[in-house]
Amino acid sequence: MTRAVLVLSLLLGTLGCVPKPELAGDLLRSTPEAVGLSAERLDRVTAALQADVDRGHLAGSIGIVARNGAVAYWQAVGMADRETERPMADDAIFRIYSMTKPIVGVALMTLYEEGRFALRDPVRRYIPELGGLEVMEGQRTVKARREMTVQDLMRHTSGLTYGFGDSPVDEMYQEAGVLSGNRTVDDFIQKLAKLPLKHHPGSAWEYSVSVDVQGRLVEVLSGQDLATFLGERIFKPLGMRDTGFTVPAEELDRLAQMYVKAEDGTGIEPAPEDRSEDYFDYESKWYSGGGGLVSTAGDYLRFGQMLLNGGELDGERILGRKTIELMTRDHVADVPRPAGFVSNGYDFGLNFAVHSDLAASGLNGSVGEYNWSGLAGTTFWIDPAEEMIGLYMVQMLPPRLSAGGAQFKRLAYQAIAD
Amino acid sequence: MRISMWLARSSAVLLALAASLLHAQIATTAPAAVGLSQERLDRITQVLDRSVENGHVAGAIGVVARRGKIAYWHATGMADREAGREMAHDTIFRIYSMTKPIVGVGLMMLYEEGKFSLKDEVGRHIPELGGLKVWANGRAVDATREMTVQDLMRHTSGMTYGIFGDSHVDELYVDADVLADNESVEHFVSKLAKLPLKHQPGSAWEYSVSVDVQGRLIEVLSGLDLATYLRERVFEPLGMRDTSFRVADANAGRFAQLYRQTKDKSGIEPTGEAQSKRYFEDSRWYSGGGGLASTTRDYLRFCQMLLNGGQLEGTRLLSRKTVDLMRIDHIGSLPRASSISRPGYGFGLNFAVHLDPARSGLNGSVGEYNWGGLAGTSFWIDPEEELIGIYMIQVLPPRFRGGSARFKHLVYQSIAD
Repeated sequence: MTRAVLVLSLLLGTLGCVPKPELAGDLLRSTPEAVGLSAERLDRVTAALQADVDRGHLAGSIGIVARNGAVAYWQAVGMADRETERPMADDAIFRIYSMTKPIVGVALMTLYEEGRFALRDPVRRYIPELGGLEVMEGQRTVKARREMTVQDLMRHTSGLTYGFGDSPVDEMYQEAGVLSGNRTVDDFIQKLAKLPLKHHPGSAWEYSVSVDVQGRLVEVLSGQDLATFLGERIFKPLGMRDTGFTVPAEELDRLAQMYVKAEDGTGIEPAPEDRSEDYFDYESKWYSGGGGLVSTAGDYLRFGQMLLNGGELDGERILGRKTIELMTRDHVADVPRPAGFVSNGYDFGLNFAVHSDLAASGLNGSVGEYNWSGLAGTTFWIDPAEEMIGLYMVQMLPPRLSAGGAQFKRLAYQAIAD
Repeated sequence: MRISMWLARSSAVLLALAASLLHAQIATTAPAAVGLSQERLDRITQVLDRSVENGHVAGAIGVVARRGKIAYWHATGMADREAGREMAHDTIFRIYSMTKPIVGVGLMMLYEEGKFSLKDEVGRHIPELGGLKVWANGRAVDATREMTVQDLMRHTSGMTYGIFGDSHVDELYVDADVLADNESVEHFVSKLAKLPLKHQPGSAWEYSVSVDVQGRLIEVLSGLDLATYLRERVFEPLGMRDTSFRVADANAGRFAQLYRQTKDKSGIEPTGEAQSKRYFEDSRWYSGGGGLASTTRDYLRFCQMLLNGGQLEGTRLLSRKTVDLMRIDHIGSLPRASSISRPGYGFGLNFAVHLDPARSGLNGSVGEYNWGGLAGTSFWIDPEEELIGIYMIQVLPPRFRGGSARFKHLVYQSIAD
């Protein structure tokens, strides 16, 4: 059906709003109407993206909506680099930060599918340094009630933290600089192994460096470094040619500039350069599984389409359908969830949040839709009920002036017309 | 690829031949025809072969059927390592607790004849088991209600197994040796009738000898001994020709050796004759909770009957509604007193039911039902995916970890539609 739509679209010359067919991440394209979207209502998405640029809240962004396996909307607006007047291009390279996590989760689950581990396995079986960690209770440390499991790492109930808070353990993470100055993923583990846990494993949901630990798990189980494994097992088979932990020197002019809110609060300004150091250190083997990747809209869309297809894209099977079903179930039903990263109406699967209750979240969407976002404002979601993928790319660190991603999502859903 | 196709085709021809000579066979198919990936099924073969190479098992068989056809069947290693006998498709296994679903089906056939209802008190059919006391706080007290047939089938009878616990009642079970040296199923019940219950009936889930009691219930309600009843009503109609409480001398050469871990935990060793005695003895003691020997072929026929909603090749044992009743959760939020119960699972009538693959941390489908046996055998039936998996080994606990769970998640990763 979708292939017929493409041919028909080409014949009738109705590719209209679609700028460059060869840059659609090699996915099929469609007119909005052919996949149940309204072109008129999609124009509202464009207007909203453009308004953020016009107000000076963002330098530029890309919004994509794919449905039934074909791209029906792809719009780049504004600038990739405002100061050098480089326009936002379809193939701009973005720091995707925590949108690295679903990719590492998929990689780890390919090893699960080979029978290399079970979700209930204690992490210490594969990374002995992370066995027998103590838990901080008040001013003293106590024995953990149980070992953290691989499932704990993937649903954020490991007891680890990120160091963003102000508890004693958060402060210890900050002092140890767990995610900086590493030369290998193992360096990171060695630092982590010296710190107590913030919670007893399984007792609380807390966003943490546990996906960086997953990265080490991939290395230990596969015998390859994380970058090589992801390259061979995910990026190459899926044709994600611009996704990696570093930006090649020759592609530097495609990297979007990072922005922060200006000091006077009225607009934005380029972020300090040190934010980008890791992306150009070609010698280092420190690969942050929790946030180290750069990617493009086209690449990430292919990753999303693989998931929506139940694990395969263009004949390349990455995961079995049942494994993706397992990753997008609610894994935290029994776990108390502090307010914060995962809002009301969302559950958490394995490296994905899962929308479980639209009324409780107060957000449009579908039950079962799964998603995650990155520190620089990028976001994506995959909606099996509507056979839809949304992807929003931007490079703006918090605090932001615009609710770009949330607004994009709301507007994408209002464009459904079937 | 071409060789495996040829193998699949030629084995299909062989099976068809065998079917015309013996009993109808479940057909084989190319994996792709039922939405499975051959390439991904090969991963199962690697893992099963590796478990033999590592010395974790002597041999193993894995079977996967989907949409009524066998798409994968791999036997690897040895049925008896010391005797140099290879694991074969017709190897006979001690299936232990995988006896329970068969006895449950046998009992529910009598339910369908109107011989009892699930809420009937057990004492109404087996008077010795009426008026049992409950051990609580160091003394025997009255039961708040009598145990029902439903309690027997969902493991809320208040009884226990003895060997899995260390409470006073568990000790009494061990001292009385309830499951050993019985002359008949009735003899077992007479021992049980002298012991107090561990829990108030209906108050807690605890794995127990209650399926052995179901065996006696079948005898009382049908007027046949359990072995005769199962043979006439279940095994012969389903063509389960190698399933029985006793292994005939003529079949002894197909009976797998039973193993246990060596003391130094480096490998496995045969358990010795004592563990196999009961499969050859001459008595009327038939353990409904764990006494059967069977083959993968036979057990697959039993599972296919259930997946089909109660019938196989035109022979109906149960109605679809009765199978549905057996595979829904019957225990809800009742406390679970046994470590045998896993999070994410409920319990139906003689089956565990997968309610939440996230909570269990195991891949699968909601509503998939299953059970396993003491020697590491396991099976599951997945109505949503129209899939059956069976894994057979013969190693007593403690085992090297992961065998059946790994087989199961490897089966699920091979689904490609």
